[in-house]
Amino acid sequence: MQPLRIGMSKKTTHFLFTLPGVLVFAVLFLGPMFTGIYYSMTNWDGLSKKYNFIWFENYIQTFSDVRFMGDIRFTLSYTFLLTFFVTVLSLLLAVALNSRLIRFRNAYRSAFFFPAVLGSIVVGLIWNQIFYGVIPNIGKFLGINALSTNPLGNPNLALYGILFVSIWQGIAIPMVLFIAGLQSVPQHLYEAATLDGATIFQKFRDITFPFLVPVLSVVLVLKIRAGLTTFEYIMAMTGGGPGFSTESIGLLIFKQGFGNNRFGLGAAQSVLLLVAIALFSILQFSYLNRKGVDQQ
Amino acid sequence: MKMIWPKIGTHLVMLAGVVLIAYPVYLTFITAFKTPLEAANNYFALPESLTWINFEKLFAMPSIWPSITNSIIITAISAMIIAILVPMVSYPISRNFGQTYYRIVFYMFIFGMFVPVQMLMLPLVKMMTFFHLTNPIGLVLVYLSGSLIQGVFLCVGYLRTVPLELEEAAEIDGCNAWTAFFKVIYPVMRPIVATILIINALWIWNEFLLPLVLLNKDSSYWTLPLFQYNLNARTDLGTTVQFAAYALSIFSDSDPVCIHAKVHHKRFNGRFVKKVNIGRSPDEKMSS
Repeated sequence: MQPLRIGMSKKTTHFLFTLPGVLVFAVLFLGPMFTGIYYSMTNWDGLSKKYNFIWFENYIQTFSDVRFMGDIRFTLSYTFLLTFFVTVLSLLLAVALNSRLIRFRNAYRSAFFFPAVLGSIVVGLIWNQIFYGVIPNIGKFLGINALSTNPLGNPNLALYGILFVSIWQGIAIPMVLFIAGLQSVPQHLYEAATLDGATIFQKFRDITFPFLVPVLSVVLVLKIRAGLTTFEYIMAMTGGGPGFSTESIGLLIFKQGFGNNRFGLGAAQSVLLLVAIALFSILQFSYLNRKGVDQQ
Repeated sequence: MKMIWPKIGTHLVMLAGVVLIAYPVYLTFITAFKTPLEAANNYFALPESLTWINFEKLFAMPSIWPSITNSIIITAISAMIIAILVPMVSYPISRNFGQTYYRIVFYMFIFGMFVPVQMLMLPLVKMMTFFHLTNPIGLVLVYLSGSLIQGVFLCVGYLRTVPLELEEAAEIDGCNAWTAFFKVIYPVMRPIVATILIINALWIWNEFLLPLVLLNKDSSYWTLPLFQYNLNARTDLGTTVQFAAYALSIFSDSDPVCIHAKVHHKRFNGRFVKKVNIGRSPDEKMSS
């Protein structure tokens, strides 16, 4: 062994390498997180110098709040629909675009990937204009009553308007991930299955799907998280209206903290949001991990 | 003959999808070149002649130039630091995963995946106001902390495919841990660093919530998404100017598309997915 030229051991150097990242993360991520948990047990309004420690009163208050319960209902149905449609549609697209029989695959792929590079606020604003100016015209032309006015102004339809826009943009990344997953399936398995007389459906269920489980897992986590924390589309399109019919939990926390001066309450609701995301992700993992193949 | 109909059907569905994707973009660009009167008369028609008046009005606004430069500076500086910060943390984690400290650090970053921005935003604003960091510098620092979550996860995953023999050889040739990383390991990590840079640059360029809470007070600190959002409240300018702003955004967002398509497709299509495998920790892979 040659002696080291600088008088610093490998151990120390490695430790120093981690230091900048760990410090930045501790101060700007873990710090706010733990102060958030602390504030969630106070009645601080975010401005005054004095506040009291009130333990779990914010949490209890939150669950008896009609507005919060309405927002939960909106957020959960939005998350469920978003996750379902994005997963199904992007998987179908990926299967279609991975097939060698389709021509212009790469052109289609680029087209469907395009929305992913746009900012969600701009996408929301553009669609807002389309819902306002274009959709009523089409609705009148086709004689569909429900679409003859701006759907975002209708409490029953606004959810679907926002959902449509988030699917429009949200399919792109899962599609690319699924295509990559499909290409990781060893081709000889299909050949063997064909020789054994398997149908297309059997091949998908017993060969393709197990190999897609890791990707599916990632897609589900991404979408559940995106759904539960959704903020930007709603901010750009309805601002939570009409009434509170499209107010998500993410938007409510923002309003509590910066508009209503209920800093403590907003913090408590954000802690609940964290618990919900963690819970859904872990449930999803433990369920899907049993279904997949252990890839070597 | 039997095989041709499903093919045509698939193409029709695909084309419908492409139209659905392209139509809003098309509408944005045609409206941006219309006079307000034309736009009010007919949403769907092509503009009679290209008018640049909307863009002239847009660029005459005092807040647009700072917004564009801020967005560029914030994204560029964050990306430059991320390119070195993330690999530097990931490398020791992947090589010392047996040790408690590195294991804790790794899972600390992974835990960040579950934390919603809304949870950090309220305390973060108080903290940044206290340190006088409600400015682009503060925003860059927050982005750095955010980039570590996914970045470390992807890098550590990538590093388990980099053989240990590489560093052993470097050590025998007289490298210390510092030079072994910068001269031998870092160049090998270039593909994953490129992926991380693209993911983060896109995220930072388009991110809206953090600029909204940290920079909204002073219009000289605005970023492009923030400018867009605030422009939406300026009804006096008319919709055509807003469409000009959307067109500008789409145009500026599409610029990374070329790089993205090139690097991303290759990266994603091949080995990438093998690395996105959350359920497995690096040392398990080593033994298999």
